[in-house]
Amino acid sequence: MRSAVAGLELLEPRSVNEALRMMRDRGPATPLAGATDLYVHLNSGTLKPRRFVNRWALDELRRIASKRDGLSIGALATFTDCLRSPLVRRRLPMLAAAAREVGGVQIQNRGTLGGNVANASPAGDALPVLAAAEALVVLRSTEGERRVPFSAFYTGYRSTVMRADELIVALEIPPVAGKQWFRKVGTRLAQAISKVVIAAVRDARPRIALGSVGPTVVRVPRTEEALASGASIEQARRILEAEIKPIDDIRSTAAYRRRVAGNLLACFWKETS
Amino acid sequence: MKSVGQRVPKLDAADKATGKSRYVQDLRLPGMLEAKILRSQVPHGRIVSIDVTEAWKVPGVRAVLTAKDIPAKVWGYSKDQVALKGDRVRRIGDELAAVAAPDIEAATEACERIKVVIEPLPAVYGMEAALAPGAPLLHAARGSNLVQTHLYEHGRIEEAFSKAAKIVEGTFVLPAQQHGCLGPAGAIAEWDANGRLTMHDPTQIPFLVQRDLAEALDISPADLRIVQPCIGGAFGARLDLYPHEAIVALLAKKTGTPVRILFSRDEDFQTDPVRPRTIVRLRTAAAADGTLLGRDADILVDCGAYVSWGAMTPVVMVNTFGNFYHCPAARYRARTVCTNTQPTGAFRGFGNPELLFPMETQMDELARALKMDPIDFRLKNANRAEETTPAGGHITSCGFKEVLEAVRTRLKRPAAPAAPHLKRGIGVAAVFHVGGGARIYRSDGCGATVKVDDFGKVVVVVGATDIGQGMETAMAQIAAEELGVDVSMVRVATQADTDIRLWDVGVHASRTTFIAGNAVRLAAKEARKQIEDARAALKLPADAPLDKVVRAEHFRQKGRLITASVFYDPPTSMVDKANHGNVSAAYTWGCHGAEVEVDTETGQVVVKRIVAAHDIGRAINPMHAEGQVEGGVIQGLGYAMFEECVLKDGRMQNGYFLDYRMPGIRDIPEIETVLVETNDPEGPFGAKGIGEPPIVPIGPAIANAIADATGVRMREFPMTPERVWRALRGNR
Repeated sequence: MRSAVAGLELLEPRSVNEALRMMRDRGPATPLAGATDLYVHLNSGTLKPRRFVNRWALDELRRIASKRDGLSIGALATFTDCLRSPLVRRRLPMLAAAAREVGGVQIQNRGTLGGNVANASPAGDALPVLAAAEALVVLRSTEGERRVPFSAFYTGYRSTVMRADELIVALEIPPVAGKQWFRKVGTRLAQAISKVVIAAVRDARPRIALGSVGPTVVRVPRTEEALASGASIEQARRILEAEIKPIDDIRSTAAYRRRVAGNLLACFWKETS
Repeated sequence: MKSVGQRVPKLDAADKATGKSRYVQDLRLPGMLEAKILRSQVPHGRIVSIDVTEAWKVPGVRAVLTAKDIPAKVWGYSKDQVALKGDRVRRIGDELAAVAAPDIEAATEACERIKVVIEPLPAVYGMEAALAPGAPLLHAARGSNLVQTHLYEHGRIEEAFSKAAKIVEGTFVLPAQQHGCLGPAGAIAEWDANGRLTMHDPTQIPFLVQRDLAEALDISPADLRIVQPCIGGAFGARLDLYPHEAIVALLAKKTGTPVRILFSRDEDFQTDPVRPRTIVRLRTAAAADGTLLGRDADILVDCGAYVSWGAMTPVVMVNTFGNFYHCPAARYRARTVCTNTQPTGAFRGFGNPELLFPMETQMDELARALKMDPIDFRLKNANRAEETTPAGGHITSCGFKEVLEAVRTRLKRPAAPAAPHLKRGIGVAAVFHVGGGARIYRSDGCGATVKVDDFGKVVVVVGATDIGQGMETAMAQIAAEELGVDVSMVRVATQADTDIRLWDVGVHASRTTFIAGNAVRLAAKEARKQIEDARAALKLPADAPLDKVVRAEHFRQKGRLITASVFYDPPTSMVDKANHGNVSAAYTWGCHGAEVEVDTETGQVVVKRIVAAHDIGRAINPMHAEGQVEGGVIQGLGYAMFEECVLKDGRMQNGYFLDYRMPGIRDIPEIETVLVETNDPEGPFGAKGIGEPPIVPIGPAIANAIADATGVRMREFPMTPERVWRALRGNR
């Protein structure tokens, strides 16, 4: 069923500062940008918030820029922006790979990196990339700005450390040394929600992050530690399969996800050797 | 031939490609209101109260209806359906109330404000559970959840199995499949001041809806007229009368204003008359030399909460069961069952994919067990032209051998895969299907009128319905061929309503090219004769152009119109009580070959290549025939590999395209299509139906290829990576 839209309120700020004041003074309000997740809930009648702050027009948050040897990606950068950015392709190719796997072209044109982070789905395609790259989430409110390490951003299923008056303004990615690798396994070859999604960096200190295998995107420190200290890929795989906590749902089963995660780890290790 | 056999582009293609075709979603009548239905969120329960007071307070609301406000009429396939439920709900999605308002938002808000109290009753979802003693009853009047038992038998079954060298058996589980039409269901109703109703309704059965809807509304069918807008896909989904059609008519009557109902995608998923869940227990016996001896089936078919065309599935299945291959003994029991799930209906192939997955799997198992090539094994037991089967089917044209050989030639064993965890294999499966109509009603007929006007334009008025399959173009080609004119001079009056068009039983059973094609061909032939007579009578030269002949007739006293009407009903019979009979005037034959690669670590099956060979009698339009084959292969690929309605407590968990997986372009393999032409003696220019057969054998061909690659037999659709992965591990 489609919800009635008559009871919804849309606020349209003309600047980031105005948006921040609206978040402070007119809350509770939900920021929206590409609205690709929001419309799904609107159409299915499960949309709970009534008041929205439309930040789509705030172009200053759309920039992708070099920051020292790393990147600063504005929260409103779309997946298409990420895909086309020479900077992203050079410094964070695994993000370009993830962006290519998000939905179809229309969704890539509307969906934003900030929205993917804020929506907090354990299946968010870009989230393992940000986790493996050890990104910082830049949060801003009328009181100022703070930077939260990606690993500390999620506190549980669809919950984050963001305060009600804060907006995500950017993602900052430190320089990533080593080979980057990304793979998504879905129910079909395109336009699918992942059963397992993985991003990994091959370095003296391997970094591995997975989506759809727990309530949030996860890093797997025990597996990383084992690989760093020279364990065989078979040993690492067993550790990984014990370390993650996938569930049965309509897209897959826990046993299958565990197995596929192990296979993906082996693929990563082989293809980056 | 100048028109028949030519690759004429679809006449409606340009309009469809440029968005000019008008679907029910595009139509707007002056003053039109929008309707919304409030649906039950309880799978089984007693309705205690429905309070609509608050709904009326939404500005603009013009009508709110509940069961109390409408005629107390019971209707439907088995007279167990009502438009709005008053005492009992039997599934999530049952219609409780309906609102008409100027826009969908207001109608939706009004629905959300209706207060419903339902006392839950125990519900039952599985067919076996529904048949168990003490199961909750859906329809008390029936005394049981069993709707009907269908029996069939020929030969001596016990003897056949006792002397067999090899017997294979298995239980096969098939899921509900959604049609997923691009155009969700919808309709517009308007009444005139004389109490006559016009429905703009994308139905597959305009003439039967005229009868059934009149019954549900308690009006005379003479006061009802059906206009079909362009239909955004059907595949069997629009083969019955559904509650929303009665509801929108009742709202229009109540408000005195045209009312439209359009389903959201979510609602379309909830109410779609899905392909029924089916469980088939089958065993098949063969002699050591590869002669088939017997087959024995016990089948359950899910009707859902109300009986619609899903209940007809066993009647279609038994046609294949009794006729396909030389099999001296066969025994069949199929039971249809009600459960607290969405009602099931017709779906392209109509029971044949459900039956031939088991049958063709066991043909493959027997061939392997007897160390025979699977194509040789099928050839040894193949039907032939001009034979009558034990079930009473009369085979006329038969290209079975040709389609098997076509696949044998084209399906090559693939090279060894790149890595040890990848396995490659090939498999084949065959199909037998009706191709000359299917007499499931007393009539299998269709009427056509061919008119030639004074500009030489030929207008075809035919009862048949175009649901995207290309009826319009095929009929134009047939009329053009018979009249010796160019296709560009022919118009098919697809916009005409039931007042003007000639009776037709509906678009189903791959019947339109054959049945309507014969009606159009005969009418065109008659019109041609009238033209020849006119030329002779008026002493016009033999090459006088059509427009000149027609004008000469129009411009004289006692002139004649060039117009001919023909009713064609094929020479067939309905089955008798024992399910014997020749229901179709022709049968079609097909064989698919599949090449797969199985990743034994993930269970992922990649279908690399499909060869699809079909005997279609004659291709009226080879391009469209190839399109039908490719479309059938893709839809069958979805059924076999991806699609499944996941239910929890009677609620569909994946009622949206994100998680209800139809194949995307990247999932579709190379498809090589082979059209075998056997020139059927009864078909128009030798043609037979091709709408359904291509969806049927693709699943078992893939399953047999998986068995070839891995040695593992899949007996459940969809063959998802998880299922294959578990099967590779002995289903642990």
